Parts: sequence; C-alpha cells; structure tokens
Amino acid sequence: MHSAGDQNLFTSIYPTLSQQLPREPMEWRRSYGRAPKMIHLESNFVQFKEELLPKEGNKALLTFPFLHIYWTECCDTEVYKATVKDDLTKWQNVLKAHSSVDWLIVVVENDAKKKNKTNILPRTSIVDKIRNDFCNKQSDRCVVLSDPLKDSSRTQESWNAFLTKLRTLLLMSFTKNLGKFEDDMRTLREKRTEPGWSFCEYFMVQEELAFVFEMLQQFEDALVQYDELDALFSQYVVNFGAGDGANWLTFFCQPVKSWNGLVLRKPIDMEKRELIQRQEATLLDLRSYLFSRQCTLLLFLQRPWEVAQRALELLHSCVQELKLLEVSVPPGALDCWVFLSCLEVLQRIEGCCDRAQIDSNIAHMVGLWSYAMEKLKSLGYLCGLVSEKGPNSEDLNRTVDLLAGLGAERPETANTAQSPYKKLQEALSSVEAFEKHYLLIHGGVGALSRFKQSCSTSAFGGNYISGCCEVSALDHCRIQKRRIPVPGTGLLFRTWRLSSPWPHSELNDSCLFLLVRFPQTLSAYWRFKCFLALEVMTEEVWKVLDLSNKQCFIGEPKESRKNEGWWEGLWKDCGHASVRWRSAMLALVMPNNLVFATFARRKRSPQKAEMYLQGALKNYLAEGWALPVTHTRKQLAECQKHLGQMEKYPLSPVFHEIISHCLMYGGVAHNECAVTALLVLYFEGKRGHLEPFCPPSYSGGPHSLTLNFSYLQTSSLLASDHHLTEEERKYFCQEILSYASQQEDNPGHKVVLPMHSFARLKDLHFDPPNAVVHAGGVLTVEITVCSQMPIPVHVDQIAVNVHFSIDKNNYRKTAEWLTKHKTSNGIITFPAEASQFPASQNSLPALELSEMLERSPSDNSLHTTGIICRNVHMLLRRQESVSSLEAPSGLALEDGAHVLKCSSVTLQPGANKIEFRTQAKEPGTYTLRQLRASVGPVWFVLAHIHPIVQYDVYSQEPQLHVEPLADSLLAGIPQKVKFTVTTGHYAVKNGDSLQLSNVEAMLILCQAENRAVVYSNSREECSTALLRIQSSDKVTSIGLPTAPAYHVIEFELEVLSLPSAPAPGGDTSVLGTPEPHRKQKDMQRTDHCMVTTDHKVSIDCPWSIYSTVIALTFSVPFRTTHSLLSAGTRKYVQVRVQNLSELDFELSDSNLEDMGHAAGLRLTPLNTHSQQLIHSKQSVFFVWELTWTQEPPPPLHCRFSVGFSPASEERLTVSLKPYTYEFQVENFFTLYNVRAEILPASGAEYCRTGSLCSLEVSITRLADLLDVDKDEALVESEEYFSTKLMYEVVDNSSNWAVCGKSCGVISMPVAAQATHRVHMEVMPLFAGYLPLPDVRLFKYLPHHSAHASQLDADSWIENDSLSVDKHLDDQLDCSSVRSRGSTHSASSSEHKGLPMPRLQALPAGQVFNSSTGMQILVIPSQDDHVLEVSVT
Amino acid sequence: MAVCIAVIAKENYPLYIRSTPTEDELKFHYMVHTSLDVVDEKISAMGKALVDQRELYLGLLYPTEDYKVYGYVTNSKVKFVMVVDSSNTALRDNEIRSMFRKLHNSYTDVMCNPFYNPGDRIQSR
Repeated sequence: MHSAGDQNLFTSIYPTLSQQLPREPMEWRRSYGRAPKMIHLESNFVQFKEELLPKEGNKALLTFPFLHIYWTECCDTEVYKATVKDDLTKWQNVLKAHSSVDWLIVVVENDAKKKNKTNILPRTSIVDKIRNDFCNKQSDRCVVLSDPLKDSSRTQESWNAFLTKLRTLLLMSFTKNLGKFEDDMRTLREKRTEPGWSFCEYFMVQEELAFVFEMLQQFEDALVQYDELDALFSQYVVNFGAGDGANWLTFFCQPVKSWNGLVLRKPIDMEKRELIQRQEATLLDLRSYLFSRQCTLLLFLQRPWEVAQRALELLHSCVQELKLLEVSVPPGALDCWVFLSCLEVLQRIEGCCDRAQIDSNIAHMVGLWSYAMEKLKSLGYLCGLVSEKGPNSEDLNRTVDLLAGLGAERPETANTAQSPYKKLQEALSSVEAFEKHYLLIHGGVGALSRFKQSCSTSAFGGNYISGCCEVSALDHCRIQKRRIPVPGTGLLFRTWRLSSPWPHSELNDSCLFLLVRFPQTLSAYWRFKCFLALEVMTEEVWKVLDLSNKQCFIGEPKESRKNEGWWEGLWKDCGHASVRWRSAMLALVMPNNLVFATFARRKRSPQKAEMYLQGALKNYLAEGWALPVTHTRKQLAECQKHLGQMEKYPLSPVFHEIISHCLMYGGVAHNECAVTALLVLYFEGKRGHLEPFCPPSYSGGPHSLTLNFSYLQTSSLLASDHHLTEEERKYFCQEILSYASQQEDNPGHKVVLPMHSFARLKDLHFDPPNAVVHAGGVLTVEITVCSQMPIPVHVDQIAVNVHFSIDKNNYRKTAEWLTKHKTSNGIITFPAEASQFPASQNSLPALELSEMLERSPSDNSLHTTGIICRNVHMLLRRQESVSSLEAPSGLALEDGAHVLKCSSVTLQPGANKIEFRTQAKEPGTYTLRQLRASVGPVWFVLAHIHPIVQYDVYSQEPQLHVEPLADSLLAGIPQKVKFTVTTGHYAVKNGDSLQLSNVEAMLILCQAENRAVVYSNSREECSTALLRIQSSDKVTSIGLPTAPAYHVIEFELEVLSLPSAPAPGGDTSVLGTPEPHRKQKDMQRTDHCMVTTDHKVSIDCPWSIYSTVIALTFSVPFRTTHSLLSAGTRKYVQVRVQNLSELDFELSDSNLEDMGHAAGLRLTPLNTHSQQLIHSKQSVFFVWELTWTQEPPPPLHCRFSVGFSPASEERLTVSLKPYTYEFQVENFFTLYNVRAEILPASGAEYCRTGSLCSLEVSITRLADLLDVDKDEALVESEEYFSTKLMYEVVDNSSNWAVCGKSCGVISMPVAAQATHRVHMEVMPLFAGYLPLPDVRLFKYLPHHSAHASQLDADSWIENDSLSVDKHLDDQLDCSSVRSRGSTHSASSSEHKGLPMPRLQALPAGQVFNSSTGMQILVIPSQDDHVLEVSVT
Repeated sequence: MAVCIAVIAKENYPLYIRSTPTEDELKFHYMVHTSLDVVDEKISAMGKALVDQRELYLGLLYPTEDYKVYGYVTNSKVKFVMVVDSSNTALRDNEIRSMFRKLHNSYTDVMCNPFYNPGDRIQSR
C-alpha cells in the first residue's frame, strides 16, 4: 500500500493498523465463476514515491501498490488551504497520470488538537471540505479516523469502520488489478505462437501470480499456476517431438553440464530462478525449480505422498524429455540426477511427515526406492564398481567426470551426514562403499517387500514364514532394547531401522549367542524364536513350528498371550494396508545377480537373497506367471550355486549338527516332522535319542548337501523349462550331470529330486497284456518316458519299486479291474500332469445345487423354498498354499525287495521306451509304486505312479477237466469227450499217464489216431503227440505227452454208454387207464427230459495220490411207451418209440418177443419196414397182433428191441447194441361184452328230441370162471358163481338226458354167455346223429377190500363227468350219487371204521364195448317251434 | 500402438499376454505383473465408486521411464493391461480408452465361444 501525506502521523498509526488489518477475514468474490473465498489481507505499507507507481506494461504484481492512502491530521482550514490541499491535488494528479483509481484519504481527528484551535468552523469541517474538493462522486473515499491512539469506544468504532473500508477498498483494488494481470497474462500466453515469445518470460509472469496466491495462503491456486506452467512446457516438448519446434525451446536443448539433483529444502531456489529469468536455465534446471516449487506447495498442503508420486512421474518424464529434445547428456549424468533426486524426495518426505503417514503411503515410496536402486545399479556398472577386479582407469575417469558434474554440495545439506549428495559421492568412491550403499537401498526395498509378505493374508501359509522373520525381529528388539514396541505396521519399519542395514544377520548373531550360551535358561518359546530368527530352517520347518505346533513350543503362558496378541495385531493392521508387493518383489528379483554376488563376496547372510527369491518364486507360481517363474528360478539357481560353492559357511557347529541330524533322519529330503521332532529332542537335552538314527560315519558337509540339493532341483526344473533357450537348458542339464560325475567318489550319498522335472511317465505296457502271469513266468513291462531334458542323458539305472501283497482273491479282482481299467492291449496311459500353474478356479469342483422345498407339517403348505449347495465344504475349503511345488517334502527312496530294474539307459529328449523284464516269483499282487532314475548319486523319483498299476502272479495246482464236446452225451452211440489237463506248476514227464478205471456200462473206444495237443499258457499251440492208450480189463491207461509247467494238454476220447431200458414202472402201463386226460398231461411233461444215466469214472493222475472222480451223464435218446389195443376178442400190442434227442436215427430190426415163452402165444408183427428213420422229436409206432391158442392166456412179459444208429453218419466202427424196452401186458383177455341200443318210443319210427326213448344195455360174459375173477367181488353159492358189477350210463356230451336211475349194481353169473340186460329211459336233447351214451362197468367190491383200491374209487369220483359236490351236507337227488357221496365220506372217515362198498374199474382189455362208435338218428320233434340257441 | 497387451484372470494369472518386441517378453511380463498391484489398489480403493459409475477404465497405472501402463477391469474382475511406449505421445486417454473397449469386445467374443472353457488360456490367431 502506498501511503502519502503526513508521514509522522502514519508512523504513529502504522503498528495498530498492520496489526488490525489481517485480523478479520474478507469474502473475496472472484471472476470467471470461481468460488468465493474468505481471505485474510495482510499488506505492506510503503511511503509514496512517484517512481513506485507502475508504468505501462509492468508485470510485477508482487511489488504493485494496490491502494494509495493520503494521511492528514489537518484540522485547521487555513492549514488545509495553504498546504494540504495543494499536496492533495498534486498527489491526485500523479495518480491520475498513472491512471490509478484506488486511493483513499484518511483524516485523523484528534481531540487534543481540536481544543487548541478555537477557530473551527463547526459547519464545514475539513472532512467535508476534502470531500467537496476531491471526492466529487466518491464520498466514501474520504474516511475519518478519530483519536486512533486513544482507548475509547468512539475510537474503537471509528477504527472498525476505517478497517472495513480499508479492507473493502484494498480487496477491490486487488481484485481489479489481479483481473487485469490475469488478462494480461492470458494475452501473453495467446501470443505463444509468435516467434519472439519466450517461455521464461511468461514463466516469470505466471509465477508472479503464483507468488501472490501463495502470499494470500491460497496454495491450491498457487499450485495450479505451476501445474499450468508444467503442462504448457510439457506440451511444448511433446510438440517439439512432433516436429513443431519453438525457438525458445532451443535454450533448453543445451547440453547438460550439471546434474546435482532436485533441491527441496529451500522454499524458493533463487539460484535456479535467476537462471530461468536470465533464460540460461537448462531443462533440468527448469524442471528442478518447477518441482521444488510444486513440492513446497504440496507440503504446505499437507500432501507429502503426492510429492513422491509426482516425483516419480517427473523423473520419468524428464528422462523422456531429454531424449525427445535430443539433449546431449554425459553417460551416467542422468542416473546421478535421478538417484540424487529420488533420495532427496524420500528424505524430504520422511523429514516432514510422521511415521504413520509414511506407513499408510508406502506404495508411493516403493517406486522411488526401486528407481533409485536401479539407477545406482547402472551407475555401478558404468563406473566398474561391480566388476570382479574393481574399476579400471577408464572407469575412474568416468567417475571423476560424474562427480564433477555434481558440483559442490549445497550449503543447506552440507552439515547433514546422510545427504544424498554425500551418499552418492561415497558410493562412487569405492567398491565397498558402493556395495554398502546398494545393499542399504536394497534393504529398504526388502523391508517394504517383507512388509508386504506379512500383509498378504490371502496366502497365509506361504507367507507366514516371512512374518515369522518380522516377529522374531521384534523379539530381537525386545531383547536388546528392553522396550515393548507398539504392535502394528509402523513397528516393522522401526524394527528395520533399528537394526538396519543387516537386521537379520545381527539378529542371528545375538540369537545364536543366546541360544548357545544360555540354552537352559531360555524358555522353550524363546529358544524357538531365536531358532526361527536364524533362518536356517527350511520353510517346512517353520510352517510346522508356527502353524500347527505353535502351542507346543510356547513355554510361558504370559509370553504366549503376548505372542498371540502380536500376531493378531499384525494381521489386523497389515490386512488393510495396500502395498504394492508385486513391485517390491520385482525390485528384489530383478537385480539379484548383483545382490547375491555382493552378498557372497561380503560373506554375510547369503541365504537372504535366496530367501527373497524363494518368496518371490512362490508368489509367481501361485499366480501362474510362467516367464517370471522361469526367470526367478534362474536367479535362484545362480544364487544357490554360489551358496553351494562357498567353502566356509558361517554357521555354528551346533547347527551343522542339527541339520545333519535332520537330513539323516528324514532321508535326504526335508521331512518336516522329523526335523521338528529332532529339534524338540535336541533342546530338551535328549540328544542320546538321536544316536540310533545317525549312521556311524557321515562324510561331506550336510549343509552344502542341502544347498546342492536345492541347486540341483532348481536346475532340473530349469532344464525342463521350455521358456528358456536351448543353450540355457543344456547348461542346467549339464550342471546336474557334472555334479553327478563329481560325486562318483562319494558312494552312499544320494540326492533325491522329483521326477516330474526330469521326465514324464507317458504310458506303460504289460506283456502279457492282462498283466497276469503265473509263478515263474516272465513279465515284461514297457514304459514310455518322455525325457524333458534337452540333451540325451545317460541314466545309470531306471527302477520301479514294486509293492508286493499277498491277497488270495486278487486274481479275480484283477480280472474285473482289467476289464474296467485296462485297454485290451494292456497299455495304461498316464494323464499328462496338470499344468504347473494352478488356476484356482479350475481346481474347484462344480457347484452342486439342488432345490429345497420345506412344507409345514400341519397343513402341508409350502413355507420355505431355497437352493442348497451340496458341496459347500469343497468350495469353501481353504486353498492350500502352493509351497509344495518347490518343496521336496515327502520324497524319499522307498526300499523294497521287489524292484524292476533297467540299467544303463540313455534317455533321448522326448519319448523313450524302456523295457523291464522280470520273472514272477511269489504269487500275489504287485503294485508299481515308485519310478526312479539315477544319474550317479542324483535320483529322480516319481513318488507315486498314478493311476495304480498292478500285475498279478498266480500259482496253480494241476487240474483235469473232462467235458463232453456236445451239449449232452447220448447213450448208445459213441460220443466224444474232451480231456483238458492244465499242468499248473507240475511239469508232465515222459511216462506220466492217466489211469481210468473202467465202468462196465461205459466203453472207452480206442481209436487209432488219437492226438493230444499241448498249448502254452497263452493258448498258443506248442506241439501235438500221439496218444498212447492201453486198455486192460479194469483200467484204461492214457499216456500223456510231456509238457512243461503252466501248459495245457488237450485230447479227445470217444466213449460209449451202453443203452439200458429203464425198468417199466407200474404206472407207465396204459392198460385200461380211466384217466386219459391226466395221462396225457404227464406225457407232455415228461416229453422234454430224457432219462439219464450217470457213469462215474475214477481217474488216477500222476500229480496226485488221490483219484479224481468224474461223473459223465448220458441221456437215453428214446422214450418208449406201449399200449394194448383190442377189438372184440382180438388183441394188439402197440409200442411207441419217441426220439427225444436232436439227432435223427435209423431204426432197424424191431422185434418184440415174449420173455415168458408161453406156449400158444404168438406175436405177429404188423410192421412192414425193417428200417425206419426216426427224426428228432418225433415218434415211430410198432404194432404186433397177439394171438393165443390156449385159454385163458397167461400174462404176457414182453421185450421190445430195436437196433439204431445215427442216421447221418457213415458206418460206425463199432456195432451198437439195440435199444430194448421190457414191459408186461396182463388181463388182456376180454371178459365182458357190453352192448347198448337205443330204440325209439314204441310206435315211433325214429327217436325224436324231447321224447323218451328206451336204452337197452346188455352185458354178456364171454368166459367161464377164470383166475382173474377170483377176488372179493366173487360170490359163490351152490356151485354157482356170480360177481357184482356196477354199470353206469354217462353221457359226456350232454346229448342225452338219462331219466331215472343211471347206474345200478348187478350180480353177474360167472358163466360163458351169461347176459344181463338193463333197460333205461333216455331222452335225446338234440336232433341229428347222436353217439350213444357211454356205458361203464365197474367191479363192485365189498367194504373190507384192500385199501389200495380206494384210490381208484377216489380217482373215479374225481373224474366223473357228473358234478359231485364234495360237501357232505349237500342234498343229492341221485341215489347212486348219494351212495358215491357216502363212498367219499367213507374215504374221509375211514378211520371211523364204517363199512362202505368200493368200486374198481375193470382193466380195459377185459371189457369190450361193442356199441362204441354207434350213432342213432334223432329227429327234431315236429311240434317244437322253439329253436333254442345257446350262446356260450 | 501398444507394445504389450495382457488379459488377466480374476485370480491374477495371465489368460493372454503378448508383447510386440518378443525378445524382451520377460520385462513386459514383470511389468504387467507389477501393475496388478496398482490395479488391486485402485479396485480396492474405489471399488464402490467404480461399480456405481460403471467405469471400467482404470487409467494410467504407473509410468516407468520408457513405458506407460494402463489398466481396465471388467465387471467380472478380469483385468486388461496395456503397455504403451512412453515416447508415443500421440496416444491420449481417449485412444487408450477406445482400445480397451475394443479389447473388451473381443474378450466377450471369446467368452461367447462355446468351445472356450472359462479360465483357460486364450489363443489368438
């Protein structure tokens, strides 16, 4: 502000004024729609000088006088007129000349002065005068300030009014001028396409604006100005790159001579600003200055992490811009600049904000750290600081040049010990210093990375281990500092800082110290904590120790609770932090060749690099990134190689011992359980327990063995990795081979590696294909192995470990299994291993969803419905960590007696076929378990062959099978029987024979050309030999051909069963059968089954002392029945031969002879043909007439014989015995002749329907008393014999209605030609030729007759066509029926002893019904008009 | 032109990754992999807001000295990452955005292919 007028007065007021003015905020309304803001005005007052007034075109806004104030204390009109008015006019004129309209006249009223002057015009005060004279329209431009130095209410009031006025005017003026300035600036910016435009000029103008805003504390606005400048500049550079060059830009293209980095410690770097003002700045200068300003403002705005973020962008873009502008930069200069800048930014941020802020914004810092590291690395290479020999003179020259470019250290950092400048200078000064600084920075990144690993809760198991490190580090703090740190994320950093740069190695030392010195005093918990910190244990051990068995190792409850709290706090706090762990990981992985080399050289903590790499590898594997996996593995291999080569590894002998125990106990593999157990034992002071597990002497360093082991494992993985070039793969393969060849002088030491990286089992082929072999037999297993190695590898031995189990039923099981699982050719194909990279979603099972409906039990209405996932437990299962991919856990060589081996094989890259031959020994099931290939001491092991592959060995007893060639053997003709001798384990010697005991009814036919065939086990024909058969009376001896074990001898023999007719059973007699239907049924039933005869042959086998009994069943091909036919008194015998077999036969020489040779009996054959063909399933009948001369004829005993031979065959060598059938015929002599006659009613010519006719039945006895009559029915009285007969008239066809009695008992005299006549009334029911009703005749036996006859009566009742109700209480109208009903009751109540007469049917041959077949014509009745039609 | 394009599954394994200077593939793999950090960060930081706005484009993930890495995430959390040469100043946000949109369309086409099993590596002709 520009104050003119009374300077003394102003000086007196100034302190109050400058104090009061900024006290109240003012609302600042802004143009262009910008939001109004409340600002505090603070102003500077200067004395009025004309030269201070801005001239036209002045761009300086900061020094611009915004308001011109004229101070006066004048209270006297005279004085006013004399001096003040002139002065004011002059002042106003000057202002007008400079077209300044912002002015104010302040009149200070002073009471003290007023009193002195009495000539005051009360009406027109000075104020009014001034207003009149100067403020013609702006009366508010003159203010009165009364008694400013007094302390009264009036004074206060006037001050307030004045200040408000002043502020308003000031702001008005400010706004106006600022608006004008901005407009000018914009105009200037618009001119930027003009040739003479200069960025630097414009920069100064806009920066002026920024300064103003900054002064007003409007940092946001100030920052915007710089950002605009930044953007404008960037745009120019981009346009330049596109060919649109601006002249002014050439300034910035001058070669870079200085690279001293960003300077962020000063608010304004005047040095650089001047350079810009003088248009001498380089691009780096401009950028540095611009960023330092931005940084300052951002820090004012409390956004330090944005500084980090912008810094990285800036550094990147600067590098790009320099390239784009083709600025010449000395090599390394940019690296220096970037390195310094990174550190400067990091230090600036860390210096100005607290830990919590940094921790929550670690993400932004990782980038800077790694960028710095990268740059330092390239500087190291450039200056020869990483080479083995150290820098040469050229490198030194370059270093000197680079250091020169840094210039002198800036004064503001000169006193700080850790300034980036000093760091760089030191780092470049010597190799050691470089390494130190490099690792320091690496440690910084590492800390961030480890921080990540403990944060990542997702991969809990895998990364837990790293967390362990952290916590053990915390414990370390506790030990050393006696201070309990705050749990949480900040802690980790602090920990790192405390023990930086070697957190773990220092920790190791102290832990080791504690452990070795005070093993007894430390609690178990601490012991293990220390142990963990030592980083010697494999990850598996850690996992076991901390995840599953944590409780076991925590000795003191207090400690344990604290421990739990830490863990929880750690996870909780870390879970939320978002950390760019992948970036950190990359930073660790990429430069590791350098890191571990330096590590190795410094001989300190060399496992650290390996640990980092393992961690990174695990993550890459888990996320399935193939190329990074390969690369990391490569790094790892190199690292492990170095570790393995280190001769002296700084580990205490205690740990050597422990590790060697571990290794021995768990095989070569790291068996975590074993290790844990050992550790426990060790620390419990029970070392004695270990002794049994330790081999007596163990040469070779166990630790180097582990390292070699991991190196070999990594190498094998790399050698099979297709992402690598052929040369690299060959190299790694060669590494394994050379290791193998080196170790040849160290027998007994083995390195077990997983097979999958070395080779893949593709398929397996058994010979014999069914994988079943007899004991002693040879089994061939051919496997196809795909070698993953790039070069042919000579393998000392390939072996398959076989598990043997004796299971009796396995043979059958295997057979079933074979049909299911094996292809017919015996090839088992192994599925290609699942991709190395687990895609987690692929491994998840599919959702099994099902609908769920629940109904309420009361009214069955639906009340719940939903979807259930049935395999939630599968889906929600915790994902297992992938650590096992690299871990060798559980790989151990199985020892077993059964091993298939194949020595000295060269595996070519790709598919190789390897054949194992084994001779089966013990019977049982053999399961292929483990496939392994050894190259020297290196064993590649496939722990499990999956799917399960088995082969079976069986042992078999010799067996003899005899079976017919056809379905069944037929008796009577020669039939072939096959003998099969399965030799089993018995070898048939020369002279061994089968001894068959002969059976009389069965002949063994010895043919001249009987051949035996010997088959091998697989049914291949081996040899044939003639069979030597010798028969004696009792024994047939069959000489066997010689055959080795497990062969089959087959031969055929013809046997002939001599036919013998089955004895005719009593009931097969068909004579006079009263039950034709039933008989027929029986016939049908027996039709299909042939009568069989069994012949048992006992065979003595050479291999057994017991004889084998073999039953041969022969079927009789024929069935024969006979029947007696009679006509009057002439008799005929009929024989029916039924062929039941499938063959056709030729019958010849049928003959029937009487066995009794009764005189006077003669059988006259009525058969014409001597030879007859009987077809399959058909019958042939033979009939003979029976004549006799002597009466009565005796019972006839007959034998039927017929010769037969198979119809189709040619002449048989043997004569066949005829087929015979014996039977008896009795009672064939006719005793009674029954004759029935129907006569029409008297007077009628014909019978008519409906009218009664008479039935005359006459029963005539044809013979005198014979032997057959002598039974109970015979009644003797006075030399007169009679027998009781019952007759019955039955009409089965219901043609006749019998009226009156249909049956009756007659007493028949036993005398020739005695006749009994019965008269009956019958009525025909139908018209036409009707057959006569049947007349049946029975013997009527008294009640005490034999029980046997009862059956006949029963059967008779059953078969009676008349309906007989068996219920006794039913009323029956027919008396005869009633009597029969009582017969029936007699049968049921026989036990009561009631005397009841019985009926016996007469044999068919004894009764001849002469009227059978007769018919009588019945005429329909004439007056019958009704035709009855019955529809059934 | 982008120098490297990657399609990354929800579980952060690459479905498809291809870079034009094939000799430096590893570098791009690492680059894409590390950029997933930023993707995770962005998704978790403004996951809600992203869903609401249906904004799938994540913008510049991080610049390196030579390259710029851009990200895009689909609604099913499949990530597209594109690496662009830093010196290529012609590519603005809008171009990148439209490139991502095209990539998203072709990814959708792949998913529509009945012979493609979701989760498998994507083959490009």
